[in-house]
Amino acid sequence: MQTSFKRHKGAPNTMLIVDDDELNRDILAMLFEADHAILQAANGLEGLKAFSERSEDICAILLDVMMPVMGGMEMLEALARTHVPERVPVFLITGESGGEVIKQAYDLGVMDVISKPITPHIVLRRVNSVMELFAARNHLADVVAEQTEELREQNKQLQSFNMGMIEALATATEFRSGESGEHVRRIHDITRLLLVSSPLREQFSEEDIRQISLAAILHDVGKISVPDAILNKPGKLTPEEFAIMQRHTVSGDEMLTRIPQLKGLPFYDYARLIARHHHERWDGKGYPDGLAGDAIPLCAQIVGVADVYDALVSLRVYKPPFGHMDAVDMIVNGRCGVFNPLLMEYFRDIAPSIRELYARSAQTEMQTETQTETR
Amino acid sequence: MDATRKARLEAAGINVDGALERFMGNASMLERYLGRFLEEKSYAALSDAVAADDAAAAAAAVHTLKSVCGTIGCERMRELALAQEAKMRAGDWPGAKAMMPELAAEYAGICAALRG
Repeated sequence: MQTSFKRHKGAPNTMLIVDDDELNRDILAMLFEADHAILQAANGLEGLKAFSERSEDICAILLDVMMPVMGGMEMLEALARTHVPERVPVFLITGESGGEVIKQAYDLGVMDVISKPITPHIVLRRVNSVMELFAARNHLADVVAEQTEELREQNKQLQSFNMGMIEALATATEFRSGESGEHVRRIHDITRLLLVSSPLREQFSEEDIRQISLAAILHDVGKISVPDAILNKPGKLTPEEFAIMQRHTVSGDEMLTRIPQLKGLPFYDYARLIARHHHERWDGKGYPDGLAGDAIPLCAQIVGVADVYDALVSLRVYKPPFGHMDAVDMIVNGRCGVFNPLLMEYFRDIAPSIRELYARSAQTEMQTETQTETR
Repeated sequence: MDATRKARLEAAGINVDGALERFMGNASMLERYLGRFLEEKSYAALSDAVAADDAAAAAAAVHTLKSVCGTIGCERMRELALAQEAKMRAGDWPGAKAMMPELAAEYAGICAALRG
């Protein structure tokens, strides 16, 4: 039998025929069996059972109205309750000519009402064209969902590539100062901890927090421009050397502006502010711009604290590592420059969590009282 | 389907041309379904229900009978079934029952024509 029915690969292909009369079921089955698997049920209850067992395979339901046990309208109501008619076309095949039943059926979501006695080739055409419409719609929805998933995947890859490049850049910078990739990760983690575990979280969205924590790892990117002899000098720097060292803030900011690919990334503005201002201090005695108080971007203040803490508890060519408690005291007491008092309050509150973060590193506790420079 | 058989079926109240049209001109398919009418249970169910005075069962049976007759083109029988169903729905059970001999004769006529 010639039909115009076109089916998408993998789409459901079983037609459920619900009619109490076997002859009627057979005639309908015969019409569609060339293109479809056929499932038959003799009343609404059997129909619902058959549907629930095979709901993923069913592409259309042909439904008689007058049936014993459970009629077609009752079955239709049950299907409508679970929104079946929205995804599987339901056709009412009825000897009833009463307008009320037909109206009610359409209200419940049937796609077409076909009156008995049926005319096979008309039924075939009407049912096929609606099934094609549903199949095309479902196929399109699948394609869109697939493409969306693909795009999301690509976006994720791109993001992880970006992250990888940024981390590589940050790690390369730190390696020159004899630091490991761990330092980069720790700066990220303390920054994030300060943002999410303190009242600061109310000032930033989750996305901002992610971007600031990422931007934090590039805070010292400008150190690429500092000569090895100064960067890795074991003793105290001369004033000239210290001036060169201090330039890493401004040159970091400038470097970032010269990488056009970075400009489109959401962390770009934060990265620049952090690179330039993470050595500013609350009293205006920091560098490079001598900004004071709230003039210092908050993100740079936060990373400034994270950076000093990490420098204090780490072994550096110019200093031994300090213990956690000492490092916290030194920061809070302004021994490494003055920080925002509110930020200090938050810092003290979450200090135990920071200590846990570093627990893996198993730093040696050392009691020292010397004034310490942090570069 | 030869002319003699067609004439016999038409004499039994079967609209052969109309039915053929519905079966897309496929005469052998129509014959197959006409053959099925002989085994179809709705008439037997109707006559049993009427004999047992079971109005609800009779209403269901005559509804199916009407539908089957419509499908295979037994138009005179369908008209009778329709009329009987209308009486049942109107609550005229005696009137519906009284139609049984007429339906029985019609059914016998169809069966005879089909077998012949």
